[in-house]
Amino acid sequence: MLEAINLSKTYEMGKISVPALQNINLRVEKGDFIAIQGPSGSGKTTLLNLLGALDTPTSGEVWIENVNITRMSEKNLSDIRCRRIGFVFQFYNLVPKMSALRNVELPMIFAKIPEKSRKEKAEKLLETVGLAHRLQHKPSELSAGEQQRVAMARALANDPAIVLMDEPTGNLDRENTKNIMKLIEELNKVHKQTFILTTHNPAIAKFAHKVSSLRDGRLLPTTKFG
Amino acid sequence: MFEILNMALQNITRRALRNALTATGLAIFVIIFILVSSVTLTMQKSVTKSLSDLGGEIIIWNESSLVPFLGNIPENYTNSIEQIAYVKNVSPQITGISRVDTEDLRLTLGLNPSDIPVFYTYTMIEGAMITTNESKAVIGYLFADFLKKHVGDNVTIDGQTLPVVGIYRTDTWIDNVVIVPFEVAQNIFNLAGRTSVIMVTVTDPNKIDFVIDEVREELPDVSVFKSQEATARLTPLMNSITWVSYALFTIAGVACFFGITNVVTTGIFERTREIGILKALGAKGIDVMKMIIYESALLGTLGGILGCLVSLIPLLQGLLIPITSTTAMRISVFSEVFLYGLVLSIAISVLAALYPVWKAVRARPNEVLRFG
Repeated sequence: MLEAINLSKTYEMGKISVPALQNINLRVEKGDFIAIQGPSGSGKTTLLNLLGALDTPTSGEVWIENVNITRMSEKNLSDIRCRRIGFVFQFYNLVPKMSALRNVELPMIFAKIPEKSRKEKAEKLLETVGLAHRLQHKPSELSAGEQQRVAMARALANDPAIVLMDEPTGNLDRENTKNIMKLIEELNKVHKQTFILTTHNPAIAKFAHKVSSLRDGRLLPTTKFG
Repeated sequence: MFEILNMALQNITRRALRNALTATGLAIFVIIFILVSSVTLTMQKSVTKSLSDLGGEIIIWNESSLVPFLGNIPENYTNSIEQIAYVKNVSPQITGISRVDTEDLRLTLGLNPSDIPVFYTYTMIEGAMITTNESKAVIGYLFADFLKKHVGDNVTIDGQTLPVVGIYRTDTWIDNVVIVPFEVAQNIFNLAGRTSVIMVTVTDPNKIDFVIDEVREELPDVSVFKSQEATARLTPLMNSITWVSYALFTIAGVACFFGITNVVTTGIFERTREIGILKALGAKGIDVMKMIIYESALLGTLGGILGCLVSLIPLLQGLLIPITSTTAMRISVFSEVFLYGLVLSIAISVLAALYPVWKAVRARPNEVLRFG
């Protein structure tokens, strides 16, 4: 499904090389719900960016559905990001000028889904995340929890095989965190999609089926739950 | 395509004030372009028409003078030209700028009375056309109206007073001048033995080039060409006008180009994060490129249309170019100039967007989401 083989990433900051990830090996199966837990600066976001084709590794490979995406052209990577991967960012990254509905439609626009089906699907997804009454609201008119729900609906728009979530509750209060995590659990159960989330919070990580810890750019052995 | 266009449209309305100012800048460029082009074209067409109104198929003049039709060449060249095969009529004509009564810088034509019916079509409104070399004048009806002259009045040309014997109408610019006998004009303008131009007609229109070649061989020190080429020959005067126009367009265009580049680049930098989000969601470089190019093209179209509409107002109301203190030329409306103005406005906008587009397309989504 998704595999990282000897994945390393080093950032060049002027004359200094900063290793962010070192020899990461990770295998994720279809329908898995994995949490990558680690403190700030441990390399969680870098790993997610590499797995999600947002960045290229210094060495190593990433395979998605038996395709090595490491040496793909930017055009093909766009396709992977569009159709195979859904992203949820810590700060939601919604387009401010667009309504919730339009934000959810965006990935489908790039996937060239016809307008009617696109709108219907976006409405359905927003209904799934409990925002049927907020379709035309812009991000600035939504609460933090609601914005993150829109981001989740958007991540699911093109029925991606893998949903990557970078600290999805990092910016939410306790109540919203609980609600969002329940929603993720439910989506994973219903849609059978693969979910990988990063978090610094062990309590959040416990919602996942498996937890891998990341320390100083190295992945520690995986813990399985349930 | 329509979705990306729709996004571009939304982006434009999002920064309404900034984009309105940019479109206004483009509109000003288009206004300058249309008005200056219209003035230049009107002058060129007017000069061409004026020279063709002088009659004749071939013009001979002294091209080395600043304004060739106000220069002079020996009058006796007419004798040599008359000997050339296929030459039908040869008419020396004096075109002189003079003070007529109280009016400065008026054109006075000196013509042999016998050449007038050959080279000009006219109707007499009052009196009769001059037929002898006596010191008499006829006035075009427009100028006569302005000067309030009638047959029997006198007109003073550079201090020389002549009786007005006729008021004529040609429906050409010649209706704004005074015609005097050729010899009288030589006297007024101190051109004894000289003429400003020599107009020639031929017996066979197919032999114009032959006659021109013969004149050139016979009289190598003059310029000889077809009347219809007159505008191009009016160097350096017409060239200067054209080059001044080009310089104006270029300065305005370059200023616009950098202004728009600045606006688009600033807009892109402000939206770096948003572009990163779009790319993270699967937008291809080409999608981002189209979106920004469409935005610029829409701005260019908006500015172009605004400029065309604003330019149309003075032109339709009859904008005039002052020629002298009392005469003016009405600027014509040339539809192709409006089209070029619109196309230029769009082209400048799109070109100005290329650099920011290049930057935006190259940016990796993780970089802009991380640092954007």
